[in-house]
Amino acid sequence: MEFELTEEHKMFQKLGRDFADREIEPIAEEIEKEGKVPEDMLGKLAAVGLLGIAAPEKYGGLGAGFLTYILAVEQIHYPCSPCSWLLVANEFADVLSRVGTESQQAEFLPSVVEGRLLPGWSFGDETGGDGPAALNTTARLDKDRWVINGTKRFQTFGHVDGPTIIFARTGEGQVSSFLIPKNIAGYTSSKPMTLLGSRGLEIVDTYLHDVRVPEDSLLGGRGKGLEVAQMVAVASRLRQAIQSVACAQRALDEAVKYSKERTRRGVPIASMQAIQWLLAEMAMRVEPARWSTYEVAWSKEQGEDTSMQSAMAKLFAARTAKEVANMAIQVHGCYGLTKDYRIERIYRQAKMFELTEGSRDAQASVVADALIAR
Amino acid sequence: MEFRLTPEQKDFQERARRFAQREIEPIAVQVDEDGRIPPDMNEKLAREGFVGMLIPKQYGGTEAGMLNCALVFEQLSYPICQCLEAMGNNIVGRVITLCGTEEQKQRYLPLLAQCKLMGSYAFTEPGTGSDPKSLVTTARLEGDHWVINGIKRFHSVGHLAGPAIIFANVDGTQTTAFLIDKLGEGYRCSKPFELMMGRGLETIDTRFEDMRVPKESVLGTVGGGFNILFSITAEGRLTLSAIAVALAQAALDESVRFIRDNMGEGRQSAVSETTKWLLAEMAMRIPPARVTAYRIAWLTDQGQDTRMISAIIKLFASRVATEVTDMAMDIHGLSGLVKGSKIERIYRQAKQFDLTEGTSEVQRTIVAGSVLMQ
Repeated sequence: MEFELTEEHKMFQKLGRDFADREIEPIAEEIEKEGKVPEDMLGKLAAVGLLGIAAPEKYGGLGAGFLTYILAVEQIHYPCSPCSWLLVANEFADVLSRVGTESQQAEFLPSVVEGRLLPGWSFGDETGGDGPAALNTTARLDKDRWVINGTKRFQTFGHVDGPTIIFARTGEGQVSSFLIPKNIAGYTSSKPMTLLGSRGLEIVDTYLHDVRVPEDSLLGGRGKGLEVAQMVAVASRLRQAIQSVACAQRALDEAVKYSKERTRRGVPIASMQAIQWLLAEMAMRVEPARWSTYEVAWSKEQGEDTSMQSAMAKLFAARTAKEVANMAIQVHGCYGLTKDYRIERIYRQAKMFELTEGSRDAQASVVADALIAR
Repeated sequence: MEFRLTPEQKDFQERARRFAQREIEPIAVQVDEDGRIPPDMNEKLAREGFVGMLIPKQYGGTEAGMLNCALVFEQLSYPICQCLEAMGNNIVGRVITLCGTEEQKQRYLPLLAQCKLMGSYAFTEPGTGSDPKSLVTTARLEGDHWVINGIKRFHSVGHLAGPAIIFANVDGTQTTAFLIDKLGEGYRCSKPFELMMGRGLETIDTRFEDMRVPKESVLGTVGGGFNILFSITAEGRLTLSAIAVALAQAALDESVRFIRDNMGEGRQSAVSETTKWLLAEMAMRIPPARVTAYRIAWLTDQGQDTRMISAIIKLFASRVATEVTDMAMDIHGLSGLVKGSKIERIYRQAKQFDLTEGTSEVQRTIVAGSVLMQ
């Protein structure tokens, strides 16, 4: 065991931190108010290489590992702004480089890495909840075309041009995944929903009505949908876990700052045991959440199956974000409720991670089933 | 970064696991009952090289380091953690290595590594737990001897021959550590306390009545007691954390076993959501605690100052132990209350980590202090 970050890790950490300080932190409040990430953000992230960390070099990526990606996300998410969701390009590349055909990779990876297209995916449909196994979206082969029908719920940036991975039934008990361009004929989206957690993170419902795509739009082969879904899920759980960690770290830092500024009877509240108790409870959670996320990201990078471990890491980190934000807002007292303090926004965001991309309860099921079956 | 164990670490872990299965598991029920540990247990632990892990080779130790030591502690305490009286030699050995004179090292370290002497340390007094300023044990210089008076409470392994590190005040203000031989004249032992976690690791009160020890018995410098105390507590917290992790793991494993035994063949689907939720809640806490403990042990081996960060893991791992064992109880239902059931024993053992080597309240003060300093 060796817990020292490599030079490459440190480099990307710094790259992420500098970018967040320079490009995101100054406009984080504005994004929240406007409910919109600036159009040029994706291009800016691409320009410094943050969209291709995990992508193969031959498609313009940097070929670094998944842990490196996770370390960068942690820094980019420190302002707790939706901008870090744009980094999913890395996860898309990670999945595509393993299950995509050469021509699928060549078609989509370069433009995703360069930030010209924003990739996405969608598991859930109207009835399916989290489980791709319960899908009612269908795809049937009509000569040399797949015809896809169904409604996908809660697709992040599902209306912004780019490739998306859609899961659909291709027969009795058979789920397949398709790599299709968003917004092609028959593909429409709802208006973005306004979320509790992060204004500017645009989530839409996607309607697929006789969407016709070439036969080779299958991703990973016919009937391999659940495997692809698993792969996507592991990557996104780990990203959500580290976003949670960043959110918790920020909440702690805001609480520390406030507790030093705010005085009561002439002394900073930081000197009160009740406040110190809260700060310690926060710090105690952040460190373990961070390192267990790193550990699982590392294992994934080594090619290990981390479906259960990633579920645990997300479960724990999301809990950490929620609990830490709750204590941090407590330190702020009533001021924490006002928009004048960042903690108000962070507190709202913190709950998100227990619900998105596999709810807390879905993760719990994954973990428990794996334990009992082992 | 490298989260995989090295061959050496794996070897220690594996040997400790086998030792625990072979030598400790079979007697766990009996030890819990009457506290009687086979007389050759300590010698066997020494023969495996588990006792001198923090003692340099030139003094007969294995110099294996803190991470290996934590791995061994974790495995050995998995069946029951009351058989480890010899393992305290690791910590006492380390402190003597760090702070002792050449003569103290030569005199004690080889015998500690072989378990011919049983090391211990005592700070707590009837009137003070963790507040160093309230210490009332005194040492005064008379010619070429120190004369020690006072009572030390909860002195584990205080009744066995060997060196003890004792903290006393010199001239009223100078807290000083003394390395003394136990059981000499003026050294009186009480009967062992009856403790919730059962017997085995005997804890006593020690009364010093004009105990005379040679002038050279000072460990470190006169007035330098706190440095030594901090060193002991950092290592002590880490080893306790490793034990707490093992206990939580045992509680989880026992719960999974209980569920399997009661669900019948092929009836995984019959396990209720509530039970699964509890399992996941237990499971998700353990990896973060474990990896954080390992990381801090690793930092110790890198020569870094872990006095603050070790409080984080102690606070966290002890919380994990109480929470996980509590949920394990819930899974077992009433049968968990029955004496003789494994989970009943585990549950009784879990609370100690919250209270020993600095209560969680003390750890929180330390953690908050370090957070506010940053």
